[in-house]
Amino acid sequence: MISSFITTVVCGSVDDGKSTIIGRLLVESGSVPLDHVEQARKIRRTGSLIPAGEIDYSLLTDGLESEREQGITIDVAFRQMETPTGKRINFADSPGHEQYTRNMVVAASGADISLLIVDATRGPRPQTIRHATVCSLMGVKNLIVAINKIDLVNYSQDVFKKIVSEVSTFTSGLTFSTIQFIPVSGLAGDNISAISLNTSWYSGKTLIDAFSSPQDVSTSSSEIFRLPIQNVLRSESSRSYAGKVSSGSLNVESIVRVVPSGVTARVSEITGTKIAKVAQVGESVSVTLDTDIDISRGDMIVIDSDQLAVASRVYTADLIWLQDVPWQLGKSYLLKCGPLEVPCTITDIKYVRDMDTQSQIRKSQLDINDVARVEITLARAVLLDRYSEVRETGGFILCDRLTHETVAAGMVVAAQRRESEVQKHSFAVDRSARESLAGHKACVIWFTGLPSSGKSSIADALETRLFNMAYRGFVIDGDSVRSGLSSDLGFTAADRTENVRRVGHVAELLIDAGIIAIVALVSPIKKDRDAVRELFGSSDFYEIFVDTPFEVCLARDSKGLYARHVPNMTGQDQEYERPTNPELVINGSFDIDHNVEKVLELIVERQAKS
Amino acid sequence: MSVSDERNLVLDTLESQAIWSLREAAVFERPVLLYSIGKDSTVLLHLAKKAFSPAPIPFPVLHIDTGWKFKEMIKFRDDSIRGSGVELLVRTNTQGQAQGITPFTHGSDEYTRIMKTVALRTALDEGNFTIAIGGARRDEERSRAKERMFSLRGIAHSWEPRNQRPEFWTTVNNLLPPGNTMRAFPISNWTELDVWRYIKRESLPVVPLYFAKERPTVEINGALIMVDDERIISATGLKPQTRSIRFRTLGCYPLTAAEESTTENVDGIISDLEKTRMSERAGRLIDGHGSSSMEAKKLEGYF
Repeated sequence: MISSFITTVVCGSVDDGKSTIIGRLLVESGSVPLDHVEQARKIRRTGSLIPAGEIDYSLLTDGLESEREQGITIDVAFRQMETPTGKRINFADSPGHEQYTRNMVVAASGADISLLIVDATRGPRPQTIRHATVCSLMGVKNLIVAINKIDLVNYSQDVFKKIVSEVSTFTSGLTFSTIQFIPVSGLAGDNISAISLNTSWYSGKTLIDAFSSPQDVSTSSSEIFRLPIQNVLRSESSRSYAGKVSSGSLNVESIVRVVPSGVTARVSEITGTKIAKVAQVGESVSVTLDTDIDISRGDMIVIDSDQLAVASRVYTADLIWLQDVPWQLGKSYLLKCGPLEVPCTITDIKYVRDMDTQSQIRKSQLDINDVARVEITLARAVLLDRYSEVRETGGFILCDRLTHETVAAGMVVAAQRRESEVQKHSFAVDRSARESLAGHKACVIWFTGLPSSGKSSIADALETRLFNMAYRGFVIDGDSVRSGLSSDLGFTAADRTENVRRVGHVAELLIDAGIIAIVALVSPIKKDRDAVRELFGSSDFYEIFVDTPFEVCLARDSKGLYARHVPNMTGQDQEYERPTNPELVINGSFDIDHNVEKVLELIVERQAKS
Repeated sequence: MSVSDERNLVLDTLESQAIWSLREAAVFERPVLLYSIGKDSTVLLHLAKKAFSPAPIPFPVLHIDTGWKFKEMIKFRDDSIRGSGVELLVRTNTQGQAQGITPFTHGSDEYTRIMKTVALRTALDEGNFTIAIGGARRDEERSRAKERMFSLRGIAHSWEPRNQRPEFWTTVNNLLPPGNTMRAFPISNWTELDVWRYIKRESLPVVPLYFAKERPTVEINGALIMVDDERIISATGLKPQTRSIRFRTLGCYPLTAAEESTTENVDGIISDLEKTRMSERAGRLIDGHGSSSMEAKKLEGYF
């Protein structure tokens, strides 16, 4: 376990003196260049009470101009300190104001230690409690409580004791493994790097020594091996899989399994940065296997005997909402966990946690800074771990598919059910029963082609004909889907893929209902159409290519799309991939009844099949 | 564990973190590695080779040549890239050059804006690069301490420090809105000492200007400037003096102050750094205009 590089999140309420303490630690450990110290002697913020010529320690960490003007830290600043023993402390200095809680969450997510500053003159504030709770939630194991401005309460042991007891009351419900309390003054320098004579009643460590003492720095369980694959490295003679080990260790000759594919292989070579033949947690490695198997970015390599390492589609997780824009019911987000990427929806909000009182609130919406227990359903089964077991493979972000912003950070609590346990209920009335009631068989008629090629018009005429024959049909066209089911999607390649996938599943439900599903969708990408075809039996799916000449579509331009040149327009910006083997090709510039007739022939043929 | 064992473990962690981020950067549509020939770039290039070995580095390497780089830097660049299988792109703002923009005629700020910032933006736009990988470190300068490891740039490469994407664990939000690009800083968490300790550990060659030697110099506003060619003599009329000097940081020669030194090797540099404590960018004349001038440059797209 690598323990020489320790990340410390610095938190506490605004004005409790965080920046000053960090500045002081950096200066006293020799981690700040002398010219920067000189600058901090000269420059003064408006209203600063620090005498000219003295060091304003807080200036050493508050780096951005806009912050210096406001006198607060608005973002996370990272600062490095080397302890006398050679350990590296990487400080993540995070902001105190409530509206910046998201930055606090960022800073805590990678931290081993939480340095919590409490103002001795004020005691713990609501923000103090909130920050300690966030740190515990984000899996920080060690807490150092610096009771600051102890000089301003005349170095009173009683005040110190009172605050220790107040802080202990709320930390007793949290999950820290070690807690240390230290009376300090960032401004006067007591107990920062040398024991102060002013606090003779205190027999503990200085703040700098507190960092050097043994800490619980594990961010994963040693029992579990996880290697998320970032890239496939190909050379003339070999193929290897590159990633950073999230948990555990792996040896040459181990039998590994790829999740979710389930394929197994033996490790023939490990190229790491350290010991040969072993891949250890925290290390960036590349692994070569004895057989050529299909592994791509986002797959996970696990030890084959690890029975619990299986993919699942539904997870319970704690979620922190980071954006001003609230969560929308039913909206699809992109979940990212390391190199893994999968569309998902939040299918249930179990409760929102009040970070001050720890009570659970019922809420049907998520707003910025909300911490909620939710259920997340993924578009396909993948392996995520419990965050308490492996941080890197149990922590994820949710991205908005349109704005591309990171909207939430999440921590997996549990896989709700394993994929193998998901069994479709078998209903008494099934598809064949519904078909016999309707008097005809169901199937999918999938029209694909350029915008304005005539898909919707033919689909409409087809449904009319079916209706007159007392056949039940239903048209799903691009526009109707876009206004509801897929209103959260744009027109990028990834979003089109998702749109086609959704429509495919709707069609699947419709034919289960005994209805002839008539889809009119540009569906420009062959791979997406093929994925839909996979959902159906060979006699249930008919791909019909409406092959209308481009000039005709352009001239028709029924929705004015070509004229306006909308972005990502198929046929212009995005290529339309022509079907290579459709069941039927029709030309949309021909007579509509003629085209409908040809499609009807297919449906009639379908009736004879089982 | 001894202090040196601990330090070695720190380097291991930093190395794995950098390799991880280089591998994430490689996933973008068109990555490019910005190479400035200095010690940080040397480390970055070495890490990139390690990250993708045995495959070649899957993206080109871009050097913005202002025409005022030290001759020894250019020689080092060509020697170390040639035959290494790395694709090197060299770009210069030829328009600026044709207009006669020099550090002497236009002042260091305007010169830097045109010959470095504009040249870089143009090169990135021309190459349609979606991510530029650089060797900036958080300990260099205060505004850099707030920079993310993966940092989004808006239209025209602008940086919005107040609206940065939150960064979690080993998960990068690598989605780019139209017209936006990304910057990646794999050695964000390295200090100057880490860079030299790593150069020593991996036995990496660096530009000889980092080591002390008798060199011709002139003194301008209290800064020692090396006479790398005649242009500085004709511009200033100063008479060169030979001094034993070395450089802590390398940029354009008229804007990079040397320090008098007798430190001739990497071990000496490391022990100097462990003792003396001036920031390395104290020798970069372009940063000094106002205490926040680096931040101002970054908002415009300076790397």
